[in-house]
Amino acid sequence: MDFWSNITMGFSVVSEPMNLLFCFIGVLLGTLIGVLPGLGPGPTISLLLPLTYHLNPISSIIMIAGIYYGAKYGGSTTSILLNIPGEVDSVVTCLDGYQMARQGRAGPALGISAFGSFIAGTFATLALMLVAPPLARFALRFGPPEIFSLMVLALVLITFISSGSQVKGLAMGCLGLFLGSIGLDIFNNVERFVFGYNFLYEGLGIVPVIVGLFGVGEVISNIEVQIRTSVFQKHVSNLLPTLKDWKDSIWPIIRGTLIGFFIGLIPGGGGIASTFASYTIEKKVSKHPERFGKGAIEGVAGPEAANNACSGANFIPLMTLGIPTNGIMAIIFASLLINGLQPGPMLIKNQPNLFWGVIASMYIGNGMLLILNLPLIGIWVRFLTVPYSVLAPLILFFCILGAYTMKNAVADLIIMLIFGILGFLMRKFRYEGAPLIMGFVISELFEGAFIQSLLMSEGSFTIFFKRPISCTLMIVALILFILPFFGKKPTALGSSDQD
Amino acid sequence: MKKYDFLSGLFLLALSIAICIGSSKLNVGTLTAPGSGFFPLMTGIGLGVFSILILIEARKSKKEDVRFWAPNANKKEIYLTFGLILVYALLLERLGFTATSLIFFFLISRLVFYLKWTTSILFALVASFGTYFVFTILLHAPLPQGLLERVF
Repeated sequence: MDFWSNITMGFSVVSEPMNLLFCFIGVLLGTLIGVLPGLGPGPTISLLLPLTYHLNPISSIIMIAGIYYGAKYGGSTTSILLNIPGEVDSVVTCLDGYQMARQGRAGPALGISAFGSFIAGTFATLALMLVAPPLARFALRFGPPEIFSLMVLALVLITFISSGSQVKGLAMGCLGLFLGSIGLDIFNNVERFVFGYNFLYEGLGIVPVIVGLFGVGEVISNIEVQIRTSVFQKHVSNLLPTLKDWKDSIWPIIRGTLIGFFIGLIPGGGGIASTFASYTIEKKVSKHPERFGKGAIEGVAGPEAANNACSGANFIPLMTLGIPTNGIMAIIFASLLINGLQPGPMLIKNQPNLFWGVIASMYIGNGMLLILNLPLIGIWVRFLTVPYSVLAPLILFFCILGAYTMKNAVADLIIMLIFGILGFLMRKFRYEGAPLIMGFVISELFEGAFIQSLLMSEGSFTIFFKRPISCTLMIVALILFILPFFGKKPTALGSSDQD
Repeated sequence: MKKYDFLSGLFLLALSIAICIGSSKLNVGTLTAPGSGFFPLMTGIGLGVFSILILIEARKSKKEDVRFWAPNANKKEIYLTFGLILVYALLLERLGFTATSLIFFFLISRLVFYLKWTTSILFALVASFGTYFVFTILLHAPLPQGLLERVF
């Protein structure tokens, strides 16, 4: 019973007081930033990256994962009470959640989203546990051509699913790959695009780039049009959904969980795509579609479950194939690297403590979140009254701290500033940050796989089409690349999560 | 969006040409023996191709132009924020962490987010001394020493 011994090991890892503490800190922070509009998991995790450098890797990853799935719980609170998505993914929850709040049913709306999230989160963790190890074993057979094709597919997918223009996304992907190649070329021991600046020798730092692009860029966008907040219902009571609410919600939760899980497996399949898909399906199967948008509990339960199942599923491609599926997963990818761990098929084999510890922490974290988001909901509602003008200076200050303290280099602050300006301009010109960050973090792996494939084939590109797995991946990538030119791009799916 | 797509497409095209020129100055090598410049050159070519596609999309697009700034955008505050971060970077290792952070935090709270004078000062004091304490005493992570650090 290898499986059970692994799980037992996972729980024994997470029951170490330090790991439990960091799991709690993670879900607490996650809920907090989820509740606060204008501060998402992306910037938060990037701000904490330098700090995790001082922690042990398992505690760090447990905490970071907690922030990620915790934010999904918190995001719905703001959507329901303020009609402003606390997280981008929760935008769908505004539609019916806020209407429920206006009808004085904020309690059941919050309750069902917490329970739905818990059910979906737990299911996704269970599936992650069952699916990831065999998938990783399968991926161990991948050679450089398969890895290269897989990464090409991931880049094409992330731009295919995003709401914006696909060519813009792919341009950003290429730019990211280029930015990742700056610095010392480890294959030939030659410096590239350093221009005599010593700080570029090690390449552009992951932290200043991400903090600039997501953290500073986000704050600047919020400064442009100041966020106003007003809570609709300050006192929330009757959190427990009634029997009728449960009856209305249970199937949406189950369907939402499955939809969210499968969308979460696909690169680019961010939370927002899963919530829109779930909402659309619930509206289609409902006998009373006219109730949607007017406070239908199904419209809250389904998308909230989808969102949380999706966040669990996002970890599968990362942990097994080393493919970050969205911007935030790219940051988690970076955090693994910073802690000296290479995400990919070898991770589960080489770091069983980490993998099973993180899985076990997700069960415990989801339990903690249920408590944090039901009995303690009042505390979070109070946080909503903190004005953005008080939070923003703090966020900016943490961005600076995060970027600087990684290497104690002023140059990193300048890099952060440049990417902050770039991030702001990208928002204005409708370019997405996720493909750029993804290209940036996988650049080294991408180049390695590319060069090795060429060496294997003695310079022939046909190697990517001669091997069955690689060929399949390439053909899917090509089809997805060509489809938008015939106007076949899925527009119902929103943008992948930038923040 | 048309005008902006056109502008950004042109910018990316120029950037891709610069990347290609820069890469070709490195050793590009051959397909059988790729050198250091090979991969950056490929990314440059990729960027070039996609930026041309962006330009084509922009030409075909019938979408109306949107304004760059939102109505009543706080432009001054945005420029000021970028400026203050730059000043922070320039002063940090001259004045030390606490003094620079104090000034930055005060100015940004007061001039960008219009908090009250007293709130801004109090906020700046707590944030700069608080983080200094956390980083140097709890995390043993050194921060640049300066004027104020010597006093204490």
